[in-house]
Amino acid sequence: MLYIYLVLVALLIINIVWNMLREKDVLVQVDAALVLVPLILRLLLIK
Amino acid sequence: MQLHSKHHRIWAVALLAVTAVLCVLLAQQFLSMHEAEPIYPGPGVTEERLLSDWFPALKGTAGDTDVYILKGEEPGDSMLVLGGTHPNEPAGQMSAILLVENARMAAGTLYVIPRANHSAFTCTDPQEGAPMRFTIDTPGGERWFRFGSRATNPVHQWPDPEIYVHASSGQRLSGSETRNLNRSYPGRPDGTLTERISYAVAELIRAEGIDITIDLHEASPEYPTINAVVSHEDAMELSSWALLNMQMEGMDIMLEPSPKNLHGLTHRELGDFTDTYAVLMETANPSQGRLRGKTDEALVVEGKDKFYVRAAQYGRLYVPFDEDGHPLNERVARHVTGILQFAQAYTDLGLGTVTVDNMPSFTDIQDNGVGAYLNAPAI
Repeated sequence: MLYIYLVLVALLIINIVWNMLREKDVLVQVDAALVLVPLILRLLLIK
Repeated sequence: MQLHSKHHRIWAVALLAVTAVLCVLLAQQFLSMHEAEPIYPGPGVTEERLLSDWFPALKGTAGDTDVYILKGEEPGDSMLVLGGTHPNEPAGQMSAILLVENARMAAGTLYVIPRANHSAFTCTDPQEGAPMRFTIDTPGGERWFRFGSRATNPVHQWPDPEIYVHASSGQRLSGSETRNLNRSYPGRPDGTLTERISYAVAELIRAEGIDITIDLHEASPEYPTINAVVSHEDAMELSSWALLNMQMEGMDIMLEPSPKNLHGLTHRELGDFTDTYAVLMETANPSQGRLRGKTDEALVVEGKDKFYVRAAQYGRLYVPFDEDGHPLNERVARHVTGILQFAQAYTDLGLGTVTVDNMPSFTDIQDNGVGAYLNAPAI
């Protein structure tokens, strides 16, 4: 179960980064950057 | 509001770099929680082992934890003290550490686990604003101690189910209780990490023939089971005797029978599934209550909170609460006195012999503070 959740988190991170690079509105990019922080920490099983 | 830029790709890369820096900084802080406070065993400790010695499947996991053994010069019976079942209830952990650093056994054997849920010491509860550590002054210098979470770190046991079904009883609780060590007894060898920890504790009790098990807790001032001993029915006579002696020392404390329909707790399951006399003790800890104000190290150690003073004036609490609060010194004094009185009652009732020496009294700890009885930190 843990690994399924981690795969979902990894896919979500890839999706956010992908959209961040295509997004033209800087404020939306900032939002995406903030969302990435807890997801990365969870993917690495730090928090 | 929109803020378009021709250089949106450069912005994205720059923001990703900032995200990476933030992740590194935050990771350092979160990972620092994995450092355990140093404990300096006194001369009464004859052996140090790991909980996994009684259940090898726990070895190398975040649930493995130190077990300090104090074997007496004279033969006798045995007592197990559990601190840190809930690492946001620091009086339990501190009382266990006080035993490790001071106690000497004249007769019998004392087993002490100061960090029963080792994993739960590696995080704090989300959205509680709790400190990650607290400090206590000792004659040899300042020492720090970890303040953790009520439950196993979700990094070590994740995800939670919607409903937690207690394995041996079928009792249904909210999903997050699956990580609560004191809802997981008697545990399962092939269960979750939390269930494996409780199974290891039960295995220790069975293998060593532990006669008395005392699980040290704290409760919010607005919680009805507070300043209390909760006792399995088999331990009622022992608890009554110990309680009388505690009251004679000036402690206001009550005795509650372990509810037969509340499962997963030490005072129920260890009494049912092992031969030990299983009891649990509670003191009043404002730093875990719902009515508290700022949650910081001062609240943990000094136990003063103006909102609890007001709640007491409205008659909403189950303990008296004035400007002096309920400091850690008082809460540890209560637990230590309880432990000593259980050992004394066990001997007085002719059940066997457990004699703990060299421990400060209730008034010693209250007057001089916990720090006076902690060993100097290593330089």
